[in-house]
Amino acid sequence: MRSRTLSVLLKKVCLALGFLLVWAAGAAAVEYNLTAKVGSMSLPDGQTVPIWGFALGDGPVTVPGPRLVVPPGEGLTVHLTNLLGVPVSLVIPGQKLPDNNTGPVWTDWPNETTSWSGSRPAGNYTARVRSFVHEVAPGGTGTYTWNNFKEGAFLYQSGTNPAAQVQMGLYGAVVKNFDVDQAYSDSETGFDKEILLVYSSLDPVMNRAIASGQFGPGKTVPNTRDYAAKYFLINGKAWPDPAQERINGCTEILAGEDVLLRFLNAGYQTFVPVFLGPYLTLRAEDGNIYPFPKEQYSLELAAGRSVDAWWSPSSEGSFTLYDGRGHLTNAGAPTPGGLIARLQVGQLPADSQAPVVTGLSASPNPTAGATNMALTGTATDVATGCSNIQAAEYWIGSTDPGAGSGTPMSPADGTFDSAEEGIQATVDVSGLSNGVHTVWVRAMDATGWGSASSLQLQVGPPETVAIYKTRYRRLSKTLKVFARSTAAPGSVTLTAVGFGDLAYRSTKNDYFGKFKPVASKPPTVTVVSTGGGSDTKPVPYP
Amino acid sequence: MRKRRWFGMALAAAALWAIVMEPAAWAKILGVQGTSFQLVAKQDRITLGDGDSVLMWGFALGNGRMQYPGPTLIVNQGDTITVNLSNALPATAGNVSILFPGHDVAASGGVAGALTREAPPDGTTTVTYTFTASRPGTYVYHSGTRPDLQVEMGLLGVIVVRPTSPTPNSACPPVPDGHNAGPDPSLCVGTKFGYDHEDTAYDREFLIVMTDMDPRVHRLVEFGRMDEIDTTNFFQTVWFANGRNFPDTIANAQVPWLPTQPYNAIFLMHPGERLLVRLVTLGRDPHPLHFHGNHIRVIARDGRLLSSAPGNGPDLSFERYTVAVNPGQTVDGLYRWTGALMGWDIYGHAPGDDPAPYEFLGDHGANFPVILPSRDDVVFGQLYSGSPFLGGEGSLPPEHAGLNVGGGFFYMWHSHTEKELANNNIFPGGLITFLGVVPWDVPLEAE
Repeated sequence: MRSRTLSVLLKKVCLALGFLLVWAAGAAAVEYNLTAKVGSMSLPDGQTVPIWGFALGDGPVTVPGPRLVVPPGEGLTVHLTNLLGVPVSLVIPGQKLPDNNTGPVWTDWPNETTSWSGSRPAGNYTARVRSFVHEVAPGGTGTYTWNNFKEGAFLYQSGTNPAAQVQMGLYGAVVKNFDVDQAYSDSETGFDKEILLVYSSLDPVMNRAIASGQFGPGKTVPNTRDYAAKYFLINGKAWPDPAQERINGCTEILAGEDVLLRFLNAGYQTFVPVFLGPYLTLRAEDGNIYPFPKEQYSLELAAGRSVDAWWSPSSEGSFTLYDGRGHLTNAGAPTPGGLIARLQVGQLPADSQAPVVTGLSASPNPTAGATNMALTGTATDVATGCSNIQAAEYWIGSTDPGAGSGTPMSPADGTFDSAEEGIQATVDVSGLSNGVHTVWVRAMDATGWGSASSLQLQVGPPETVAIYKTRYRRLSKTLKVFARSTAAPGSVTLTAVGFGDLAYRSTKNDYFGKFKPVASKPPTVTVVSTGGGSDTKPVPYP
Repeated sequence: MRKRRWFGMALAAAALWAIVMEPAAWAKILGVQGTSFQLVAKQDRITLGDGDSVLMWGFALGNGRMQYPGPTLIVNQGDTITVNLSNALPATAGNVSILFPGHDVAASGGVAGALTREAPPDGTTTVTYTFTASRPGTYVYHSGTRPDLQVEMGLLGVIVVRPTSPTPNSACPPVPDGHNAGPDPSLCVGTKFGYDHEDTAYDREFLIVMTDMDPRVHRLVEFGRMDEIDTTNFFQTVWFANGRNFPDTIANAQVPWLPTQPYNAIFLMHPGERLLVRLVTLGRDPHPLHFHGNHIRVIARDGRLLSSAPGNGPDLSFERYTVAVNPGQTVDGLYRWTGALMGWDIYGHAPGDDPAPYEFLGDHGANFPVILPSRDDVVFGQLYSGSPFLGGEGSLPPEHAGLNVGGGFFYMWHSHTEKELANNNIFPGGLITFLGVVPWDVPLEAE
């Protein structure tokens, strides 16, 4: 799962010599490769929202990002690759700035063509800080090193334009414990099981505008002032996602065990998790241990905060967390949603089901002339028995080569050793004919191969999108947009930025959107396609 | 010190929202005691401080009217509590249920919901919630069905669990250092305990339930436009203490013109008495309650003493002049007022006079620090007695309401989020109430 600069063998040698142990522990740093890239999030009400997130290596992007574990006594090094179109960076509130920090980074915002690192550029009193620490430019890779890492549970997140980038999904949790079963040096902080609960929120309007380049001065969404969260997430999901029914996933909690619940809030508002029934013993906040623990059934989880709570379930059963501030809906829907999750206490059921594959993504798709396509997904047995994933494979086309005879996919973290694994493959698509191909992926655990999931891969030349008509009616406050795409009929989604998706009309082989009310005639309208094409046209006066 | 007479009834009853010197009104937590409670979710209306009438959903006690907040359930530690819920709301409201954070609840009957079992709106199906009130303290109950809407609509209330020990006694409050002795023991209301520890002793207890409202939601419900409700857009414009906005907070309890808002929030005490103040927030936001007169010592949160170890009592308590309680949480505090360190004799004594009960002796006989302007040169607030001295009765202008017939000192307790001191933008209103300190010869109801 991770590599260390100092090998275990070397450490043992140091121990055996009884020599320089402190130096060795201080100098060791666990290393992770993170990639910032575009992804999408499916919400329980069927909406799909574009996100930016972190992936482990070439694996699937997840929100929150992969959980980083810093072993006792070690530091942390992250190699960050940036596949986004804007610079990103990495900060960990609660830790010092990275030891190799050369930031902050300044720009003559909103003109960001020139930037400066370090202190304010001499004589420039209008430059603004874009990033708290040194950045990674689009397409580049940078390193962030923390030699002395404070124990606790923390959020790692983008330090560049954080008002926009953090809510896009560029956050995750990093944990360092004092020992494998003890959070802090205080012996009261021992635990049998550790559950991470990363709270956050999502405003789909903001995400879509940022993802489509319509965020910034003079654009559809000029800034984050009107950020208005519509979805409220725990570990990246909202109730009633099946994962929330068992938020402890494949961590088995038994009655009488000491359970450490680590609450983190990457959202932009305060949440008040209420534990229905039992009490929690709060022992630490922001990585700092309280002089005395607090016994409460609820806790204040302010934005950016980390709270460590202990709980020893007295019996088996289902225990519910909900938000005391009423973030209990998905975008206002009347059915239960948002911040509800359950902890299930009791033995894991025996595994009788094979794993499933979720979150399949192909990039680029449509291939639009590319030679290689990156295929990523998540193989998970969390909901189907909690056995470790052992293998994953893919094939293209309608002929199943037989279980185990597909092309192997590799685990994003390097080893198949858990019940949920990011999986990845680089697929040469240069030999595929133009048109739609079905890509199948399945995974295997101790019970065998699971059923395959699929995605439609559009192979073909670069897509072009053309808006062929726009019309605005002042009286009815209606905007109509007509566009065409060279992608296969209906294979892509076209979005009029700031207004909404266009619907595909097979009779005319075009995409049409009617938006109402639109308060005033926009000067231009931009249509972007999931196939990569886009077009901008002025809206004529009626 | 001059003698005070007890006459206020006729005068106060004539005023629309006057403080009525009627003992039943103000000196304790109103609620219903027992071990078994029949709660019925009903639709009714409440009156806001600006006169608006708003549609509500709330809990009623059996055949009674819905009330906001719901009935305060007062129970004893160790009792097994049964709450039977039925749902007489209109069908569009959907199911209703009750959550009891801090208690281990068994629910039966009705239908399964996301958070607990629910009663459908048929008026007859009963859901039974049973739990043991194992620990003393202040707790909340509220709807567990679509809480983002139903708590906003008023389906909420409070549970007070009284400790089995220590046993209440008739002792007067202890005399703080540097103060005069207490009154004749027959005047004291007796010592009670909030929790199972001597250091939680109090003489009088008060409850403040802080809630907020977005009236747009209530209008959409009233007009049947349920599908337009989006609780992620909440924007509250009205704030409540015990279900009322100022100035209704300081009207009498159970007044006929507020039939669905029976609880008031005016708190009266004698100097030297110890108050147990139970603070509850339900709704969307914490409302930092600011205490005038003195700081409050926070002793418990979520029904648990702030204690370093079992049996140590509230040894981790701390003083605050503003206490924010998060929605769904409860906080208990001890508050005391003697007038110490004001720098002048609050009773207007001459140096040779007998000191008053619990008077701070350091200021005995000290002169009032300024010369008061003549009556005709000042505007008198409605709660000014006409005298700067506790128990004093000065002459008042003819048009003055004369609301402070006991000559008390009135201290505002209010949200420190100052925009919440308004009813839909009309100041003063919202989350304002008062503590009244009245001299010992003004009788207050025994607890």
